[in-house]
Amino acid sequence: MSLLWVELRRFWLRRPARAVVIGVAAAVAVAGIVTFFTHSPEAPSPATAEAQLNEQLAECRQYTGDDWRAWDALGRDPDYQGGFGEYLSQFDSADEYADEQCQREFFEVYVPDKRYCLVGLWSEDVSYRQGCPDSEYAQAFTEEPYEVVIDGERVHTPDRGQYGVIPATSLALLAAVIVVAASFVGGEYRAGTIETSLLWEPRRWRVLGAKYVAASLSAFVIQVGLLSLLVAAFIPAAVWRGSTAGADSEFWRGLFMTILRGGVAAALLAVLAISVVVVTKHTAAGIAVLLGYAAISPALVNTIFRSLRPRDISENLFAFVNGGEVARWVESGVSRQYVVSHGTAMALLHVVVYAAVAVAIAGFVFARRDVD
Amino acid sequence: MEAAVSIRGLRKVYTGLRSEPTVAVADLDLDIPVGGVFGFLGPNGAGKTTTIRCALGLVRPTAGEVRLLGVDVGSRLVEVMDRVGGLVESPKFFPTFSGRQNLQLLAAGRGVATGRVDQVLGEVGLNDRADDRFASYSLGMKQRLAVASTLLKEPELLILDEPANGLDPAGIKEMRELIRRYGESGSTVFVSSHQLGEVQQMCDSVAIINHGRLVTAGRVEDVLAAQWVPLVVTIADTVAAADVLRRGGWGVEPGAGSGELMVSAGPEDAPKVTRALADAGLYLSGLRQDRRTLEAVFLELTGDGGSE
Repeated sequence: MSLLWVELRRFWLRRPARAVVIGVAAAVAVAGIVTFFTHSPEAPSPATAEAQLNEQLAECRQYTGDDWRAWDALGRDPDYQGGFGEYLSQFDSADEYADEQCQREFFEVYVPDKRYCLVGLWSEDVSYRQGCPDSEYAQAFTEEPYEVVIDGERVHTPDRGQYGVIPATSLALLAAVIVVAASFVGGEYRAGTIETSLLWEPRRWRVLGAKYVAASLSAFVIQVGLLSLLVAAFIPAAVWRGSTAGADSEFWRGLFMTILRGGVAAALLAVLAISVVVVTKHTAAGIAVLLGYAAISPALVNTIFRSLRPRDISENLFAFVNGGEVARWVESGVSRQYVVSHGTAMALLHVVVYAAVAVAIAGFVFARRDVD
Repeated sequence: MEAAVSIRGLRKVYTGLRSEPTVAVADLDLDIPVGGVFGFLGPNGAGKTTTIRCALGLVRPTAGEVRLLGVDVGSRLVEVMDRVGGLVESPKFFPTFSGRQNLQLLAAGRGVATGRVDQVLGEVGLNDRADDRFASYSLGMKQRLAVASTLLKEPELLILDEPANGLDPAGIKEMRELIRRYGESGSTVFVSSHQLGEVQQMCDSVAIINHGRLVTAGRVEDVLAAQWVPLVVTIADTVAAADVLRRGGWGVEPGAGSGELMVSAGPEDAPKVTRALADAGLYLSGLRQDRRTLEAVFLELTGDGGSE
């Protein structure tokens, strides 16, 4: 236990951890302030909508009337514009033609909602929101899975998972977690302090285990802490410069689970990062392997290694963080179809298995390797 | 009595994918008695550091065994680690932490009282700079901190690899006194050093290794005495004297000074040499036996021009 306490202290005494926490916290605070001051508390009003509709109607009447008047000026030729004159001949005046063409119900009123919507933090299917849910002019663009039939089997396309500020930030923060965790152990190899540690505690599994637990606990705390801070930073904007409409208990429960999944993903990534660094003995190698793999894996599993896509660690990690599903490619005639392979829980299991294998390899290497 | 360090048939071979296997330590046997200061000497690459690393469990031996305070390092090192302090080559600490923080982390890991940190910092003269970052320390200060870390546990056995590295003359003297104090307090200090003069002054016993093998070991006086030391004869007629002595069966070489001859004879032969010369009507004006230094013995035994 004292070894774990030492490793935790060391983790938090190091500059990379503190720099990431302070840097991200500062960025979150700035984002909260900017969000607050760039939104307006005014909800879209019916008067604004009416004025906007009238403006659109007037514009419509102007250009349709111009069409009728141009036809009239040319002697009401039935062949005007390839037979269009014959259609215009049904109307006795420009106003009559405009009445027909410019009816109120033809126009969709869009009134910009300048408020900050709290439900933008995360949502299940809404990929783009236009107006807070309590606005009668609100629109939401959803992206839901759809069903397909492959060789007689009914399957559906994968659920992409959640949208919003929190899931997106959670994924971005994972990169920072990789850097902090890799440098936590990489710094030990650079300074040679692994040797000093082993002169005090020769049970190598215990030494490595303390590093794993300290780094993964700290990664969890960093991820959950910073995402919670982000939520807190946006609440003033939602309360005083926007709307908390739609933020019911289901919303908060979902938000909590999203943040929790982010924390678990960070802890698992810290384990993977440490394992790579233990084997390679270099911080840079750990960062390059994990971030490099994340960068190239989409290209690999969607081209030459399609069959491996459901096993791809990046796919599974992203699906877990987003609460979505992992896809697989199936051949359908001459084309390929992208359908669901497994859900969020299985995605987590995949990442856990990879982390366990990484720990076993790194532990074997760490226990056997000469320290010189 | 159980030896403080007992090494039996220790062998370490390094193998590389693209290089020939290198034998760093070859079937080394060594016993270091409990109490006192034991010097460990050898030229660069002789296998000293590898031996120390094997003793501290950092390197896995290819064959053989090491026992520290009677405990087998290979299987039960953890049982004895609280009684052993180790320093291998250069000091290794977290560069951005202060000296005090580095020691506090080590102490906390093994439940050593935090007050002990200030105590050992004082013992090595680092109290004034204890809160500065380790990276800002001079090499000598880093070395002092490393020695302080080994003292934290109040070990019965101290294993120090080049503890005086980077220290100025005053620092070397302080280190020597510190090591001697430990040796005299009943603890055992196993120290490898480049400073042969220092080793001669502070060690009770020494071992010299070369090419991974033990060359000699024993009490310092015994190691020095075991080596051949010439008698230096000062005489006016060196040519005649050399002729007389050769006829008497002694080996004779010209000495370093004018009128000096080096005679291959031990101290017990001095009266015979004097008489042989006097019988030939040659009277010496001086006769002495040079005091051998550990450095001279070391160079002779290891056959290397470079010093350790």
